[in-house]
This record gives sequence, structure tokens and C-alpha cells, in this order.
Amino acid sequence: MEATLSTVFARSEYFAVWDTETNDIRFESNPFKKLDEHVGDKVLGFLSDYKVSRVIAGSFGTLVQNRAQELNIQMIVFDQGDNKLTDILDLLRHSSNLSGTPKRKN
Amino acid sequence: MSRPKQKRKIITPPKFMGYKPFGFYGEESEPVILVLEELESIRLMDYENLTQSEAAGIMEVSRPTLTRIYDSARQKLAAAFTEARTIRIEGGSVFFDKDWYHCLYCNSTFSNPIKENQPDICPVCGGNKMDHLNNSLNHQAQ
Repeated sequence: MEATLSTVFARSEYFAVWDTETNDIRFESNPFKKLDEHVGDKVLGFLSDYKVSRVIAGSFGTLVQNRAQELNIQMIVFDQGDNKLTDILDLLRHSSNLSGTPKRKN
Repeated sequence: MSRPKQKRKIITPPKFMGYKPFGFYGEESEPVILVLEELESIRLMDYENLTQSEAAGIMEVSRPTLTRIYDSARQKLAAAFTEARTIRIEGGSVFFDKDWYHCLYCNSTFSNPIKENQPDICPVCGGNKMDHLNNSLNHQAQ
């Protein structure tokens, strides 16, 4: 939970998948992080198995952005320096309570 | 009369508005203005390592046009670095293919996958003050 947010989405070491209905957090190693090409496409395919509706990272590549748009996945660029997972989750939980319509998030 | 310039597609809104030289104490000269499509050409070709054809396809311009945009960007950056000039990122002839918002509370930038529904709160912090980057950057680009 003290890990920092990846600066490049597709090259993340791990993904923390937060289920807002159960409040469970599942950590998944990124099996495609060392591929040379089409990493973003494969990562989004991998995450879509979890019905992810939002993804957060320091930046998103061009091809990832186009694929996320096709899959109706919201991209959030969060780049505030010391982005600890625990702090981001606190913000997201607060926001989820405000919206009243919790969704799955990464 | 010259043909009106066709707008170039931008994928990613810039995270900043420019750069200032560090450690230079001389008189400040006129800033270099890097337009949004020039920044995008540098990002696609030098950061994402796309080919000129791929970058041209993404920006929806011909390859020769992309080459002109990229060469202009490189010349401006070289001038700024060599002459210790400030770089300002503004203007250009661009459009965005996605809806982007910037939260004024937590500084996150987020896309809106369903363009018909305008977001009323930030998905990260729940703040309700945000800029619609498409409007502000398109306005700035005109």
C-alpha cells in the first residue's frame, strides 16, 4: 500500500484492482511489462477481464488512450510527485462516497 | 488567398505551459513559442518512438506536413536551449479527439469516455471545480 503510482501505465510492475462494491483490493503482476510492442493493448485486454471502468497512472501512451476510449474506460492522469497507493485510495473512497454510484476502479 | 490550415489532432493535453532556463543570469530575451502540434510531434516521435508515418496518421496530417511541424519544433527547441530562452507552449491549429478535464482541487486530469454526460465531480477527489481542457486549449490555440 506504500507503493507509488507508476508514471507510465502500460509499464506498471503491478496493478491494484479495487472493487468498490466489496472494497477488496487485488494486486496483479503486469505480465506484459517487458514486451516491446502493443503493451497497452494487451494490458487493457487483461484488465477488462476485471471489468475495470477507470485506470489511474502518471501518463498514458497514445495507443493505450485510443484503446481505452474504445472500451469506454476512463483514464485519470495523476502526477503529484509522491503518489502513494494508500493516499490515492483514500481520495477515491471519499470521491466514491460523494458520487453515490460506486464503480470498479484500478 | 492561402488555403486555411487544417487542424491537427492532439491526443494528450500538455501537463505544463512551458519551461524557463535554470542557472542563466543574463538578460531575458523573447520566449520561444512552441505551438501545441509541435509539442505533440516531439512527444509522438521522440518520446513514443513512433515513425513519421505513424505520427502523421495519429495527427491526421500528411507525412510531409508532419515533417515540417517536427522540424519547426526541433529548431525552436534548439534555439531555446542554445540561447537560454524561455519556452512557452501555446497556440496552434489543433483539436482533441477525447474529452479531457482538469480538477482544480487535486490537479488530476481525466478523460470523459461518454461525451454526452459532462462530469460534475472529479473521479479522484470528488471536487466540483474543473476546467474543460478541450475548451480552454482550443480557445488558447485560436
